[in-house]
Amino acid sequence: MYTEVDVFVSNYTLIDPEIYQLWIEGCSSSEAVSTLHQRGAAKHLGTSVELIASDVLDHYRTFALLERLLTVPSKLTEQMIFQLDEQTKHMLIEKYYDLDDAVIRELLGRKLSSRHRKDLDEVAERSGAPLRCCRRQFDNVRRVFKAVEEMPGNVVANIRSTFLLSDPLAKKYGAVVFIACMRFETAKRKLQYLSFNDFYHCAQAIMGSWTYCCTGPEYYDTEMDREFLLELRELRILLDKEKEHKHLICMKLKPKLLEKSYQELELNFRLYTRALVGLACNLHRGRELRSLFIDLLERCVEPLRLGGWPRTDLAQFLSAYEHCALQMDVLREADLKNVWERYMRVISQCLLTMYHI
Amino acid sequence: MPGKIKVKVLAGRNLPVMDRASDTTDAFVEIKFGGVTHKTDVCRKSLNPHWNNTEWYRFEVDESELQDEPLQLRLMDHDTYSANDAIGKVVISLAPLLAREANNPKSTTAPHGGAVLSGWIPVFDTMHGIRGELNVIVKVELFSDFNKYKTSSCGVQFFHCPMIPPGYRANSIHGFVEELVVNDDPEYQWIDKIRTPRASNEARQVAFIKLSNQVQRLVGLKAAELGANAVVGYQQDFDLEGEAGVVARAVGTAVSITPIPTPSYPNNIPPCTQQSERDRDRCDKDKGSPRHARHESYGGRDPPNPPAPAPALQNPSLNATSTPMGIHRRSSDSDLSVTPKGGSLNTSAGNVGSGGGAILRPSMNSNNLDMLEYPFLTMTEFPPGFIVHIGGTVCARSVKLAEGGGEGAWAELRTELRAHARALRCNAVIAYSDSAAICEDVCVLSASGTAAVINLDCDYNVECEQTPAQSGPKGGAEADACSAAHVPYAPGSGPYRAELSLCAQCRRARVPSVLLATCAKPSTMPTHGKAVTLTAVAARVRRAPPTAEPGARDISDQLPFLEYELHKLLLAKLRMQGANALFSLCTRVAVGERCVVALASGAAYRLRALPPPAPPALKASESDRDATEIQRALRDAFNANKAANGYDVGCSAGVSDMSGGGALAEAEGEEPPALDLCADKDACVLELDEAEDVETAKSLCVRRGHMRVYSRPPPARAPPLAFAQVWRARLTLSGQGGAASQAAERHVARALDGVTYKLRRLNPCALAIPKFQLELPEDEIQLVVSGTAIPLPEPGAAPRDQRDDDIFALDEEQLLRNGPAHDDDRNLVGQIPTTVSLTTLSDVSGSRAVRRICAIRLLFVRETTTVREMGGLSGFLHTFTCEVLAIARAHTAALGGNALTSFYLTQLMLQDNAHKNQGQCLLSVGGDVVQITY
Repeated sequence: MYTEVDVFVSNYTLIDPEIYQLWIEGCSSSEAVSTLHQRGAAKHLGTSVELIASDVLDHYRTFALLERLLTVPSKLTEQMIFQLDEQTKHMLIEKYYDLDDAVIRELLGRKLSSRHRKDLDEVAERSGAPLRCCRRQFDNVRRVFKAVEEMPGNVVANIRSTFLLSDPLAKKYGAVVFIACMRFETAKRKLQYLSFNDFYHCAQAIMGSWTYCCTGPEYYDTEMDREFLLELRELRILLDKEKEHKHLICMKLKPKLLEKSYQELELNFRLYTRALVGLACNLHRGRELRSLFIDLLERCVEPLRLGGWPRTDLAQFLSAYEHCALQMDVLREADLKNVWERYMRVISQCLLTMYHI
Repeated sequence: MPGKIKVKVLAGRNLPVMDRASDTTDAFVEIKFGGVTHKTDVCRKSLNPHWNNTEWYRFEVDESELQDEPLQLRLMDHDTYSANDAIGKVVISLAPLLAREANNPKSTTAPHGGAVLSGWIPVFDTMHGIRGELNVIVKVELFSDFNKYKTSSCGVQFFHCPMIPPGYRANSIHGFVEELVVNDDPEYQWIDKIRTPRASNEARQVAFIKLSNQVQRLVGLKAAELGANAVVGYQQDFDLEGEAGVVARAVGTAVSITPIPTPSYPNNIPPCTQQSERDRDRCDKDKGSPRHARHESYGGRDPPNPPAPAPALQNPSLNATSTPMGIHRRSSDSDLSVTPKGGSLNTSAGNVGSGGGAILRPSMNSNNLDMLEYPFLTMTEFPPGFIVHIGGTVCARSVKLAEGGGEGAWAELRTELRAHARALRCNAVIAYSDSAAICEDVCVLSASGTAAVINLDCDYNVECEQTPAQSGPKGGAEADACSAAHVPYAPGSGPYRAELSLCAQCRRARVPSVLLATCAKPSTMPTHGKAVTLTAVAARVRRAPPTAEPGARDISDQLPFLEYELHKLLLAKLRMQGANALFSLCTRVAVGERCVVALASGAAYRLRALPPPAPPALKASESDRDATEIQRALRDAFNANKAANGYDVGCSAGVSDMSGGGALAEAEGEEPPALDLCADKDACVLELDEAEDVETAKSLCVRRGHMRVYSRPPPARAPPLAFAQVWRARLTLSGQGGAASQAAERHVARALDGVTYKLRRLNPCALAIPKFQLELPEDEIQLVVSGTAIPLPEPGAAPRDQRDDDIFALDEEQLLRNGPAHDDDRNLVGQIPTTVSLTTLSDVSGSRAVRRICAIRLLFVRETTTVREMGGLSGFLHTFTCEVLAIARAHTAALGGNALTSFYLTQLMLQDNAHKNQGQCLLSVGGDVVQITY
């Protein structure tokens, strides 16, 4: 039966979450139909393909019309063309802006310009998501980035109010925007083993401790606290007191660590402390800051891995490393306790996140 | 100068970018009414302009102009050097404001004593669709005009609602009002060849709106002459006769109503007439007296009416009465010097008061019912006791050549209809409606209704809501309840020989075996089980060239066969459902270049009063293996349907009762007695002579998921959902007769399946009887199904839908997911809904109508040159329909309502030109604006 027109329109727009999910995932209408048909067949529903297709096409047409509005979610609440309840509107926005961890991992570190939109094939190939799905996420990230990049105030709050997203999703976007603003190096081959979630936690930690803390119209929390980064240079003095530091730590950790880890600590403490403090001293340089993750990997994570540290011991060590330094007089005298705490909070978090065994 | 319009444009929002360079728009608005235009300032460089310091733009105009002309707001983009660009338009008909103004001048909602339209209205462009919104305030101030020669009808309220609107008290029912206006279709004027598509579309849209307003004004004028203050059951249609112009037709029922409760309302309704002269005796006789109870004759639908002998087959030139002078060919134009002929069509009848508003024509009452030219009512639902007996469906059709107008043809049809009703011993035709199908220059005009004996002296004001409450049928109520099913004529005197049986309820009167009626089921009539929707389609291939006289003659010849086939199929289907009555019957005839298709739809009921339908039987030789198989399948389907519809209990009881009934028991035997050729009998015994009969029989065996029809008692759990399903596909006509019917039937079934499938998300839900619009453009079939789904309470409490189980399994899941949402809805009780509900029913179930504000009717023309980019014709239509619904909602909200009841969607004309990637569509929607609370 050749059909030219088959349209179903209702006063309250009916949105089937299942079909919407398929659309979000980038299925073409025919793929969606066959998926639904298979699911239906699995449940022994004898609905004909024809009816499913007609329903899917109705939805896809609606989605195509909605997509224009979804790019500016505030318009979705204002528009009069579709009568939707608040719940549905929220669902539509939330799912449309949903981030696939695999895809967003590939998008991290890429230039968010329209020129790069056509290079998404590679992203699609690596993440295993359909190209359409990658495009959507790329466009979303780009749009969010452009909208809040120059906006003063808390970036997550900005995203939440501009794009009407839920808090968890807004935080994700906040992290993506932050990483993009800082131009952190994330795409290096060595870093491939890190998931988006890892970067998300790291970015959250950095945003929480290293950016300007007072939020207000003047402050951007996508900007690093320059003064803090400069103060980090002063931590060099810790290297001079390396012996004392080591002694304190060993005292503290001796009963707690495994024998093997303890020996490793005694043996290589110098290496570790040089890496950690050395990193701090160089962070005020833009290039060093951008390569933060790669440095952490090369100078800390890899040696630690070689040392065969269990994760719990590493956590113990990092905590002791932070606290013992605070007990030392050098930091107190130089008024660096606060800086050290701020530094170590982030570094501990990052190291623990990046330390996959 | 009796009217003043005040307009204020406050702001716009979400405007499109008109200036690519700066990504903004310099917007201003031109406000036009009649020949006068005002302009706002230009609001520079903003997509959300505010015209803060605007004053009121005033227009002082004549009353009839006020009713006819729409107010047009054109949003423009200012360009310094080039011509200003049009962004879009907001077209507002003032009629809704006028009716309110006249009826509740001291209404609390209108602050300054005038009616107000205020709110955001989408800006519509015929080439681009909705492009932003405008916030406008429109007020109308009327000065009273008691001039008896006035040409306007501002005081008359219009309701599409096919009954006395809930919340109103009827003082009297005055009778039938109709009007017909012919104008040129701008699409076919020479100027259309040289103007831009946008200008052409806008001209067409405005012309149609004007025409619509004009015909409404004239109907109102007639109603006012009758002494009525409102028109209910108002129906309006356009017949696009191409070169011959466009005909706007309207029918309605003039009534005098007063709002029921609030004592603050002043009773400013004109005194109703002659209602005091009640003939009590006659009334008593009508009410189930023994004389009537002994009536015995046929009472189903009268057999296929011979179509009226094609009155317009006379030489067309004779009919060319059009006056080339004016645009309008009606004399009752807005020209004050001419005395309007309120009843110009009625001149042949004893029309006492053609002089104008001062002299009132007698209103309908039981005395003069027989004298009225058209004792017709367009209402379909009546207060209990109003319908004494239902005679059956009457219809008349005629074929004519389009020549613009056709008042004469309509008059003939109505006269014929009245004759049919008389033949059935009925004094009125209720649920009257008329329609026209046009192909090239051949028109098929149809008028149909239900012949009934009505009692105009009954108490109109029994609340309809109260009637279902009286659950236990007792004594008098019971007798009253079944009397509507009794035949109104005496046994021998019926116009046709028909099978009659004793009423299963009162055992006093005769009832037909099947009842077909165009009206809704009287609420007091007791039924078994539930009602289901039913459709039947018949098609015939045209033999002659489609145009001109041969074409018309061919159709005229084929119509009786078409009707016979349709009727046969309809009865067979009704029987297969185990039902014995069909209400809200609506028959659509469509004429295409190659075939004629008729579609009948309605709600099937199993009435207690009528005998239960006998199982279907086949008439074929015993040895025929095929036949016995089909016979078995038919029986199985019949029994399954009966069980699903909840008819089986009543059925067995009915049979046992019947067997004790004595004289008429034979009618219930296995093998019904052979009778003369009577449509009823043919339907139950199928003869398997021809191949197509076998096909028909087989198709009858297939059980389809019929949607359950909504009936009042279970209150809805969520707002109603009005929907429209448009289906258009190639209609392959291979072979003759039956094959064409089956092809058409498949399309209809598929469209309905689509609706059922798509509404599965709302389950459990019931359907308000859907309306069908059938067209046959070129070699395609186009079907528009518009209706309302009413979500019902959880299936635990209410009887389940009789859908196929497969769909059901999915629904359970859906319900679980939606569970919490329903609770939210329940909490809404007592609140005013913030969204706008649309429903094809006359009220929103589960809610209370606070105010019934006015009727609106909107018409749009949309064109695009990017059909492919919009996702094909489907995409184009989808977008357009969404936009039209959005604008309808915006108008409803701006007028102070939050629901649009009696919603309808008509005139969907879709044309496309695939080569040019171009498509054009015309669509009209409307309904009654109501304010509701839960």
